Amino acid sequence: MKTKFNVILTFLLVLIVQTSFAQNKKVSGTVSDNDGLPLPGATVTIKGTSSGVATDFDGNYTISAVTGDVLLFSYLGYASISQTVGASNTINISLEQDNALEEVVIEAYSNNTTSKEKSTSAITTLSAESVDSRPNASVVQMLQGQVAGLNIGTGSGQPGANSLIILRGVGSINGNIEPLFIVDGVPVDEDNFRSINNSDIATISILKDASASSLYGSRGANGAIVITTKRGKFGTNLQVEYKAQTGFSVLPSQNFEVMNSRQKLELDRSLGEGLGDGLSDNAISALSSQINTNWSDVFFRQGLTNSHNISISSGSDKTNSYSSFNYFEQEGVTRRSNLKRFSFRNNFSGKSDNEKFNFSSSITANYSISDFIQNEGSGTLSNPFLVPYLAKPYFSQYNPDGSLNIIGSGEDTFANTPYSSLNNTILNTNLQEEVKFIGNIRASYEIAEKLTAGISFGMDYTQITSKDTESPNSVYGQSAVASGDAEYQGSHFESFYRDVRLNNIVSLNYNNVFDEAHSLDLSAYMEYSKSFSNSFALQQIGLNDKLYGNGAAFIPGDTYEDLNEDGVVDGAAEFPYIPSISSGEVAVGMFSYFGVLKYDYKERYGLQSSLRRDASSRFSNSNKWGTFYSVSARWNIHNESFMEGNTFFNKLKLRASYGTSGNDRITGGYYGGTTNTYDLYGQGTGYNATVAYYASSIANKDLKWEMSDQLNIGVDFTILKGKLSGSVDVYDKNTEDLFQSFPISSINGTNAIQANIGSMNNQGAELSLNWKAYSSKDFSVSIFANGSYNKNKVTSLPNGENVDNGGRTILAEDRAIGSFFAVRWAGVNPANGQNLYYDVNGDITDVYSEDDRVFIDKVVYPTYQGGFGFNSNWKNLYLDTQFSFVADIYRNNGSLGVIEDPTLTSLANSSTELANAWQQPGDITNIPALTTESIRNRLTDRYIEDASYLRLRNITLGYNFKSHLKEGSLISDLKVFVQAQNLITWSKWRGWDPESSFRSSDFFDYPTSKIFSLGVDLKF
Amino acid sequence: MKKINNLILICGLIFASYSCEDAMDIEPVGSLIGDVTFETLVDLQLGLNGAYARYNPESEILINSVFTDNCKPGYDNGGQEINFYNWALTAGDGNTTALWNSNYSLINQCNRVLEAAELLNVDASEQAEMDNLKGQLYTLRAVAHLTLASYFTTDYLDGNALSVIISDRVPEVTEILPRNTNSEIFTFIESDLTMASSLLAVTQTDNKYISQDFVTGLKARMALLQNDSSAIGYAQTLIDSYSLANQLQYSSTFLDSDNTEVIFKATRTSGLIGGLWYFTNSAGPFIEASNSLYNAFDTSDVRLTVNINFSSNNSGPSEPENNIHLINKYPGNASAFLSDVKVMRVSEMYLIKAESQVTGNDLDGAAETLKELRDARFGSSTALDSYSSQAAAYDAVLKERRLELAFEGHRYLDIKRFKNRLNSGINRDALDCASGGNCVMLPSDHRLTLPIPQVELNANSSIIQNPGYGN
Repeated sequence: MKTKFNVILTFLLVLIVQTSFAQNKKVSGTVSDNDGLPLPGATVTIKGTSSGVATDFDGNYTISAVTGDVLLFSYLGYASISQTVGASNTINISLEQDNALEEVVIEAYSNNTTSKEKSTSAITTLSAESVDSRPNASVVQMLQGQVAGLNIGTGSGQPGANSLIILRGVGSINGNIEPLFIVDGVPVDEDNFRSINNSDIATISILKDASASSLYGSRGANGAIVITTKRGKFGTNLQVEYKAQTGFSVLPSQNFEVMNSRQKLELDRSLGEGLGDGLSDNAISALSSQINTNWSDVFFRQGLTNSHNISISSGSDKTNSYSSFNYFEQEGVTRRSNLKRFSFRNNFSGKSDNEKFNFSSSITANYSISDFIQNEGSGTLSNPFLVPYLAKPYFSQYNPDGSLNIIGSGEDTFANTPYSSLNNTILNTNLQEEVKFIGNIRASYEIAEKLTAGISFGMDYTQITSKDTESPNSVYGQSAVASGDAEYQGSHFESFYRDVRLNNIVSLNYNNVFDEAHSLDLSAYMEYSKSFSNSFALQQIGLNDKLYGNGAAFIPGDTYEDLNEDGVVDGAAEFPYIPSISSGEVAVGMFSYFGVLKYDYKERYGLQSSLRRDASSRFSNSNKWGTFYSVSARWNIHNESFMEGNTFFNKLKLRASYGTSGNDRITGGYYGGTTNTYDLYGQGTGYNATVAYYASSIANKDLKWEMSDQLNIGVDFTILKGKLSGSVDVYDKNTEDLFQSFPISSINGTNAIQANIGSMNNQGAELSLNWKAYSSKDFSVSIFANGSYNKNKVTSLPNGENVDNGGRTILAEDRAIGSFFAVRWAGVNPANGQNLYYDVNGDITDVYSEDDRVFIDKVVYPTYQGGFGFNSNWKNLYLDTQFSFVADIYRNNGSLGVIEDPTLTSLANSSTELANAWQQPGDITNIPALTTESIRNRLTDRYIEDASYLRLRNITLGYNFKSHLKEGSLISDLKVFVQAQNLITWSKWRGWDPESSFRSSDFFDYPTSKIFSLGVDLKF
Repeated sequence: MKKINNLILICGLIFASYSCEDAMDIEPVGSLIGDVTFETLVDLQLGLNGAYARYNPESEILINSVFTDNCKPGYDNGGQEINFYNWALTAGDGNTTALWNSNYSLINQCNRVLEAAELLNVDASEQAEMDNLKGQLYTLRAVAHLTLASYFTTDYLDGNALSVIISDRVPEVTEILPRNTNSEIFTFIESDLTMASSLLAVTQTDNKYISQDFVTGLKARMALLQNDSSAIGYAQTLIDSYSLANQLQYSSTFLDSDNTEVIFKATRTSGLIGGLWYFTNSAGPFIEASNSLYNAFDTSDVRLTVNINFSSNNSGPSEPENNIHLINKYPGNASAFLSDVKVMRVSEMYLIKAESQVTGNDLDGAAETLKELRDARFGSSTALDSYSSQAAAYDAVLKERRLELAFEGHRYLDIKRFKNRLNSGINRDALDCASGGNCVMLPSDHRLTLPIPQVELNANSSIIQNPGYGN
């Protein structure tokens, strides 16, 4: 709202018109809105002349006119009013808000936008403000909580980390579940957004229902997200914009507690193990006052964030362009984790003199470097997020000389936990460099009246080089060569990955209006897509430590090492430095043709239908082609004659759509599942260092498209004189012929083949609301909220049987995907401190058996999701907030299980909860006796926790200097703001971060951080 | 405007020049279509190389060590194998599933190559090589069936008891085969072994590959399972042709530098077998030898240091006084923890012979046989046992097997085979089960037969699960 207000002001100040010479009498008055609040900058013109004035900040105007002149009062966003000048010299006018500012939506394949009024689909469109100026390297992460039904799960705090994106529930078991992403008409990799500059984004449209997404046919089953970037405008002056931000990230607060030195030493003593074993009280006091290391302080830091963005746009009559450059750097909250990025963009549009030929290009080139932590989300000791849980507090972080101790015992053992991790973080690397290029060139030509032909070429090019090295002097590197006796150690892994996705569309469009009432739009398309991925990798084990870091360090592969010192060459084992190499390539392709018909009658009724045929390279000839269609209709009720005079509804539109779409990504990945329809053998390593053939794929020739259909009914409305607007949608989505691994007997040499079996259903409702709660000259507030409910249900499975892979969740008919199936933990037996469980009948037992697992009505995916917030401004100050929430979501807290594991007390630090462990008969506690066995890896519900959360995702406080700037000065607009991301999170989750990429279990994961920043936006 | 018309024409042509097939029909690269894989004898050899590589005795070694009284959790255990150690055994168990899958995958590979061999006509000059190749495949198929049969049947002596599925061909993916009975399985294995005997080259003596001797040893093993006295004959054949290693040779055997008594070993050029119990990077043990096993060794028995590490390599030496007993059977040859898997040694034949002698009530003969073995291990003459009963003699055989074959994949099967003879299951030392409390498994416990894995139950509705596993 604040920006809108300012924009309007700017706009009108520019449009100040000269007053006329004729000066018969002065008419003055106030222009206000229907609440009586003055409208500054409203224009008052004399009809039929160029004379006019603008109102001042109190809405007052004075204009010279003659009696009989017609004054036209107008203000952007309000209906204009004409008033004839009479005898009075005072004319006060109250303007009514109107909705002439049409919201637009971006539709599939369309070069143009369609007015929201005319759209028949469930589409949510976000504007630049929703992602602009946020210190986050991933565009996608910023969408969480902004769109009803769109669930973004970010499972890592690595800057630019990938997120899992789910729109309207999980629609597949093994196949791809993420929506299709289109950037400027080019389908792009949905897993890689770290290279895209969010300041370039103009709009993001989320296409939810089948009428919108079935146009994408086989790729639209999970909806589509269409992103457009900023462009210049024809006939505008050069505009330069500079934005900068600087700030820092910190780790969110820690919602669990580990022991300090004293507590751990006392625990050691009571268990007769570790350093505390046998120590006197005095010794414990002395030791714990000497060393009490908080390992979080050693591993975590304030990560710096900096970004600079310059954009230049301009336009002549026939061409316009938008260019931008962005530099972004962000450090993670732990050592080594960071991202640096350079982004370039040029968008160019042009047209011929007769405007029949239009062309445009959108090209972006990006380069980024990311340094990653090691073994994120795993129990490997190098994972820095494991250390604050497991490292013992009575270990010192320092060497006797005061420097940081990164060696410890020098061994990769539990006892050396903090040191080997520090050692790895500091001495070794895990680096990725990425070059990303997205380009699109399109042109259209009106070959005959109302008939336009178009063509578009697009490419998404990603090249990633990775370097993962272990120094010969590091704890890991020193034993990299299989035998510790080899002279040279250390390892150097490098890989190159290139992914090129080409896309070409030709189209023919016919558009006409008959009898000024029937408008018809017919389009036909052909689309060709082909993608290639190539990779190669090398690994050298054995490096010269003086040259460590690049290929010069590689020890020649023919270097002989007499490892067992027997003077005999014992084959390959004594040539340990032979490098290993690999190379691979995969191609996938699709060919499609499709048509769309749109019909509108007097903006009252609309109909849209589409038909598409896709052929995928993944299926055998008989199943190659899939046919998808959709039908949708709308009724703009407020345009009906019977609604005239109605004052309640400013707008009321009813929408309905039904359609089908598909999925050919059998195993989820873009390049996965290309061999499933073939019987194949592959070559591999055989016995005794030989070459061998193995069966690598058993064909399922019947494999075909996974099909989904979706029914959507929605209402868009605007009420209360335009103050409250919103949409309600309900949907019912079925997926049939699900890709699943169909169990086959082990006599086939494997346990499963991919097949189309089973079905799934998602039903849900979505609501989004915008309320312009208050608006006056100095103060305005608008409030927005959205929420969704989704119920997932697996409706059929192979042989109707549960799919139980021994994990914490299983698949069962009539249950949601990701349903936990666990033995219910019944606490601790007060009599003996042992674990108790409920058996399948609900009776208490002390025997754990996987046969006692039951559904506990807890699911990995949330039922409820949404967000809310407000935008407000008071004079030049503005304050914006955005909250997001997910609810009814559960996850196993594996990290907590480790620090509460009674069998790990000697290896690692422990939870302070262990002080409450059962000790003698009669103790009532939740912590079993410390002599009991480890149960954290058992399939119980003991650590399955509520991961619901409410998060203040973004809060911005800013000041707009525009009104202080003189007209004609160099700077035309200036904004300064402070911002915080993820400032507060409310959750019961006992860890750092309740958010995840919908994992079933957490294990020392990298939490998303809080980011504080200071920003400035400058326009010239 | 003409320019633009031309441009559109060009674009149209570019588009037309892609054929739609180019996008739709993409064959996977890097793999061979089935029909062209096995076209020559060399191709079959590559198939055989794959079969050998799929023979995975390591999965047996893991089960027989961790599940029994030969192991305890190591000092560096962060949860590794703990559930299995604590006998949490269900149809979903990973180790059981790996055992089942790896053997059927071996069988499947054998069947594929055997079927391809049937379709290939070779010159007379290549026939012997072809026969030898097929002989090895039949043997491997028999080994896999025999391995499975040993773990998944409830009672070796009941010919009608359910065993595992016989797989004698490459199946259709839709095929559902039920479990066969013990007598069917034993008949099938016997016929494969007979076939192998007739095909294998007698000149094949490299103990890294299958030989006639290995087939003979397998026949001895199978006869032993069935209390069949023919085991003595097979065992004797091998005892006659292999001598027992002396103490030095015995130690060298496990450093892979002596082959005196090795009939067949699965050689390893990668895949560290020590990884079954150690973090191989740091040599931190998550599983160690048990106190009960350590205490069973006499100090003058060479097997003490072969099994328990008292050297300074691989995190050694062990500190029995501090409850640290490091497994030393696979210390590694050129690289740490990289050792060949000794699948069959002649000492096992002595033990098979002795056990069969006890079964045939030749208790003195059994004592003589065991003494021969023991003398070699002690490097001096040891006292001749005298057994008061058949049970006492069985007990002596079982104890000797434990010492001789520790960490070689026998202990669980031995306890299972002897449980009724001795009315005894698994009995762990109190020190070894201090953390979990699982010290005793009764001979009647259902877990002395493994469950048919869930993955098979999911696919195969005709499978009847073993008793005690949720049915």
